[in-house]
Amino acid sequence: MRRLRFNHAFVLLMLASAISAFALPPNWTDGGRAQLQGLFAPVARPTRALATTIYGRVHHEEPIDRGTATGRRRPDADILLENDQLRLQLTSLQTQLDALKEINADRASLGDIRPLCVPVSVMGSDPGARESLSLSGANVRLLQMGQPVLHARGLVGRIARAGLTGAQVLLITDRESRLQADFKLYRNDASGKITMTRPPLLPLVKGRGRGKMVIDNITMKQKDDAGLMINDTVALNDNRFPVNLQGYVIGKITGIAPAARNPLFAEILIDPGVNLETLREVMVFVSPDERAGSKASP
Amino acid sequence: MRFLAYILLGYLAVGTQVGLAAYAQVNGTAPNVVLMVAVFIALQADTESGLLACFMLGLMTDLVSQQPMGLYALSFALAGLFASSASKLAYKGHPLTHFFLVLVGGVFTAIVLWLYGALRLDSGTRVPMLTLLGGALYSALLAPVLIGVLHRLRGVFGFSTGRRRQRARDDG
Repeated sequence: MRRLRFNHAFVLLMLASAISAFALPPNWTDGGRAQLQGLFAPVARPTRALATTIYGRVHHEEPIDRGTATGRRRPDADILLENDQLRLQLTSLQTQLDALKEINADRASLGDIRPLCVPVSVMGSDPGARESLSLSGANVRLLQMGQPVLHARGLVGRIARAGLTGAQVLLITDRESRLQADFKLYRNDASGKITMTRPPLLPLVKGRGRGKMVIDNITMKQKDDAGLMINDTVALNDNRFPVNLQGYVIGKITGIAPAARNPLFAEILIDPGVNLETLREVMVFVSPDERAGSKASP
Repeated sequence: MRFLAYILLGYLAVGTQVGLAAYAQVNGTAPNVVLMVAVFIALQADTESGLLACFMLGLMTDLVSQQPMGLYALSFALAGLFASSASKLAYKGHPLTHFFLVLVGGVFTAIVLWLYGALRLDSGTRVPMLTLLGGALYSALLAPVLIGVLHRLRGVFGFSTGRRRQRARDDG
């Protein structure tokens, strides 16, 4: 009799989990688990720190030079020359930006986004086949669903759920991630000066898993007309993100080939430049309104 | 079964999985430490405690995963059902038993995850079956080591089989 009761209870538990997984919208259950997921930090954090130390000693990443087609490092003299040119351009752009800030006081926060970000430490990555990061730490109380997450070299993803003890970041390389983007083509003109062009295309960047992304809505003809090449930069151009982050780097092109299912379209592979799942700390963009809101709440 | 020891083991397993998954990847697949622990408990404990333990371990994994709540709970419960049934016939300390049961548990998990991707009707979000099966094989290859160590420490958990419990009840 007792055994029969247990069997019934277990079948009910399995049914409940199946309904939760297959029928209920994920956001119905996200709130609850966001409050509890940080509980694993006392074990996950030291494990990750140990794994990072060992990984750092075993695995050495070659620096990638985004100024060349091959990605190989150029001579120091070329890099210094390029730095000087970029510094000049930056000074010019900063002056223009200051002028624009004066015209439009609402955009006073445009420019350097570091003051608008809070650092949050990474507790761990997804335990399964998806690509996400678990965050925990003191700044977690400032986090809200949908906030952009960044690192020094580019975009990481968005907050998928946030609670009292932790938050989950959906990485840009996860299969559920979709981003509107722009191509940024840096070319040397006849005088050797670097110029940047943005072809009038609207690529949709999809996560592909295994640390990669893909664009498959550009035709081969559009690709040829725009002159897309390996190592060209893909940058954010998505209205769902704050204006300060438009143009933020998503990654670089690592492969261009006709799509297997439709050869008229190109399959453009994008690499974020770093293994996003092994980041130890990320920067979460918290708008001034969200900061004010979190201070006001008890 | 000492529930405090079991809860601590489950907590350690999920924490280790979250901290380690990104670094233990081979070709995009990571081993599942929690599944190995679930199979170990299903193999050693009596049926009821083992099945509940597997379900709870899945639920704990769901807390830190990007997948919807309940997916791992369902997968690990299925894996636990199989391991628990097999425990009556198999030699519990043999590495081949550990390899085979974790492999089958991993295949169950892979089928449930793949089914979830297939039912969402968006081929883009579907994790390829080959990746999922690769993870199952990777976990199975590591299982004899981890479960072998846990098997030697099984005294800590105070597992009692159904037969032993029945005998205790009869004596009482």
